[in-house]
Order: sequence, then C-alpha cells, then structure tokens
Amino acid sequence: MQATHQTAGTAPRPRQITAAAAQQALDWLMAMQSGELSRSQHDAWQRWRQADGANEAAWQQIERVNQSFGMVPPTAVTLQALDASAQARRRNLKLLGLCATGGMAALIWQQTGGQGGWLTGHDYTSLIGQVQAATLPDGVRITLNTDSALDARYDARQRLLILQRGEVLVQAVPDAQGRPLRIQTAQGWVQAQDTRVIVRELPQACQVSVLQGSVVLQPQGNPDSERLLRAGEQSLLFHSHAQAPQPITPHAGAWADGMLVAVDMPLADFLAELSRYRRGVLRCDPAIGQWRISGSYPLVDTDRILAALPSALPVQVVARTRYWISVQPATGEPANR
Amino acid sequence: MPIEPATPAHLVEAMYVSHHRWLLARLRNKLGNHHDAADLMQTTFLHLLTAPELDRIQEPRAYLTTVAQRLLANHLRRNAIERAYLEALALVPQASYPSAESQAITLEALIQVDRLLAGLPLQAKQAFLMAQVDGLKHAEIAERLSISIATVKRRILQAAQQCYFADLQP
Repeated sequence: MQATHQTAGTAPRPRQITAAAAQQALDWLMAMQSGELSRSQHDAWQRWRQADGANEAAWQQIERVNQSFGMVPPTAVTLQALDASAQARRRNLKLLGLCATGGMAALIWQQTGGQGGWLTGHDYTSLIGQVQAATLPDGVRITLNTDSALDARYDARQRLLILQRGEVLVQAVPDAQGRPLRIQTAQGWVQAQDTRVIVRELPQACQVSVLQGSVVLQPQGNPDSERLLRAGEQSLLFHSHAQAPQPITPHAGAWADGMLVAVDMPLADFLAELSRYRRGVLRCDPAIGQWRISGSYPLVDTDRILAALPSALPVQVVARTRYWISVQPATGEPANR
Repeated sequence: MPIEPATPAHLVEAMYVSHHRWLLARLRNKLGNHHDAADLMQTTFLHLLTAPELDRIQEPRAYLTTVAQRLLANHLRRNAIERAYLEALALVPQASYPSAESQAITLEALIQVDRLLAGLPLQAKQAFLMAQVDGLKHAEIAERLSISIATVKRRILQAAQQCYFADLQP
C-alpha cells in the first residue's frame, strides 16, 4: 500500500543495519557513557545519524532496546534478580545458617563489595531489617545496620565515609598513603585509625561507641574542641560539642552478629530497638514501658521475638493490623464479650 | 475432491492427534504431576501454531520435545526472576513500594533484560548495567569493580554488541 504523498515528518523506511553502522553506533554510545558530549561532538553525532539510513537504523535499534533497560531496578537489585536460581539461593542460605521465609522481617546477610543503593542513590545502603557488610577497596570494612545509608568519598587528602542515615560499624585499617579515615555525620567527624567503632545517627546527635582502638571526635560547630574516645567508651557527638565519655553499652555491636542483646533493658527501649528492624509501628503501652527484659534475641525473625514475649513477661502482643502492633499488659481473665 | 492446503492449524492438529498422548506421558515423567504436564503440553502445541515451516519437520517427537523443553526453561526462569524480585521488594520501605502495575512493568523488563544479557560473563553484565541503568561513568565503574577503564570499555562493548546487534554478530 503506497502513500500518494508524503507528509512532512514521516519517518524514512527503516534501512538494513550494516556491520559498520552498528560499530559506529556503539562507538557513539561509549562516547556518551564516558561523559557529556561537547557541542561539536553532539553536532557530529547528529550529522552521523543523518549521513546514512543504516546509521539512523542502528541508533534507533539502540534506543528501542534501551527502553527495557530504562525500566529495571538499579544494578544491584537487577543482578540479584537475574542471578536468582532457586538452587543457588537455597545453597547460599544454608551456608549462612539462615532460613528466609517470605512475609517475615528477615535479617539478610549480604557481602556486596560496593554495589549501589536501592532507591536512594547512595554508595551503600541497607533496607529495613537488613544488615549489609562490604569491604572498601582499601580494606576498610563497613557493616550497615538496618535502614542505613553511607557514601564513600576518597580523595588525595582523606578517606571520608559519610553516614547519611542509620548506623554503621567500621573496621578501620591504615592507609598506604597515610590518609586519615574520617566518618562524617550531621554533627561532625569521627576520625579513626586502626579502630573498630560504631557510629549511629540519632535525631539530634550521633552516638559513637569504640570497640577497639581509639577515635577523635570533632564537632562541626567547634572543630578545634576535639575529644579522644578510647576502647570501651561511648559518647554523644553534638553539633557544638562532644559529651564526656561514658562506659560503652554492653553488646553494642551485637547487631552485627544478628543479635539484639538486652541486659536489664526497659521494655520500651527494647521494643524501640526491635522496631528498627521492622516495617510498621510497634507500640509499647506506657504503663509497662519500665518493665525490665533481658536476653539475646536473634534478629533474623522479629515476629518470633514478639511471639515469645508473653513467656518472658506478663504481656500480650496485639496485632491490630500487620503493620500496627501493640504490646500491652496481659489481661488476667479471659475477655467476656 | 480438491486437496486442502496444509494450513498451520491443520498441521498442528495432525501432530496433536499423533503425538499428544506420547508427549503428555513424557512430560508427566519429567514434571512429576499430571496438571503441570497437561499445561505444558497444551502450551507447546499452541506455540506450534506460530512456528515456521511446520511441514518440513522430519522428526516430530524430537521437535516437540525441544519446544517443550525450551518453554519449560523459560517458564522456570521467569518464576525464579519473579520470586527474587518480590523478595527484594518485601524489604522496601512502605512509602516507596511500587504499585501492582509498576511491578508488572518492572518484571517484564527484568525478563527482557535477562534474555538480552543471557550468557554474558558477570563482569560484562555488571559493567553494562552500571553504565546503562545506574548512569555511572566509565571511570566510576572502573573504580567500583577494581578494573581498568580499558577493561570496562571492553566489557561494556561485549555486552552492548549482544544486546543491540545480536544478529550481526559473527
């Protein structure tokens, strides 16, 4: 069927793509991936497209295929989905001694070594309920706790880890070039040397707990007023100052081993900690917030921790919806309704 | 009596009559249950309706087996991808959870990308996705993967050649 006349803007009939046109199209694609094209490069690209129908066909083929790539999640997630064969996943989970069941807030261990973050564009992220470990190129090891995000910015002057959100355990190593390792938070910097340190962002301050070695705290508002923090100590770093050191909370880093450890902990605090690993709201009735709880709880299954609470304390766990759970005093009598 | 032209529907029907019981038994053996076997058998014959050169098939049973195996492999692969994607989604904060429609679109795209990248070495997939999906520059990819920029370009080219111009490859 032939058109009796051509209207302006009608696309030319697609030509066969030649090997040469394909190769040139790929060269142009690579040039664009390396960085922005200059004005003259951009014009040259346009001229190349118009020079030959085969060139234009090759470029349109690229754009057509790219539509699929435009709709997949970030690389880290896409690769995970594509490498998923049930066998491989079961094998990996068995090695890790975990059993991930769908529908529960699973604590998933992943060794990533530098993959991009889901939905946030940060270098390293963890989802709610996820603990994510990674080793940076210089050997520094970071472990992100639930719902955290961190960016790594290394340059000639320093090695900077920017804690954007959440909590991170950093195992520092010395640098071949002698650059200091600094963890940056909203309140200032934690300078670490051969150290094992936990930094956690809280609403108005960040909590720094030193497991090994020592760190120097530098408040952003007052960089000269540094404070040294040693192993076994913790401090709150505010924008204007760093608090005097306190003894470190016992088992501060247990989450990195998948455990929530409570030593005579107020129930309200315990549930607040637990809720960090879950989606939704976990309420504690104020009347029982000061009751004490102790024990080591595996974070891989927070539903089971909640289910076990009534055997540790006279409480009941009421789930109004899947995402609204309330811990209340247990009623002595069966309800008469 | 005029000879009827052998339309695809006729040819498939002829194959169905001759071989469907055989295929069903074979698939039941392989899949272990009747329901899945019947499902796959029907899908296989449906697929044949659009297959080229049905009248040239020399070995119908071998052909049927090959088609069934390929369909089964695609089906399992699709399920594996969907499962992995849903598991990753299960941990997404509620505010960012994609709609059902958005999930369906993403899943189809994942399956398409899986086909495009099939068979490539991991590093080629990584480098290509980081450039095309994450928009990272070659230098950034080189740093994250701890390889040279020249290697990054080689890997990306390898993947790009297959994704865009597979039929032109030697």
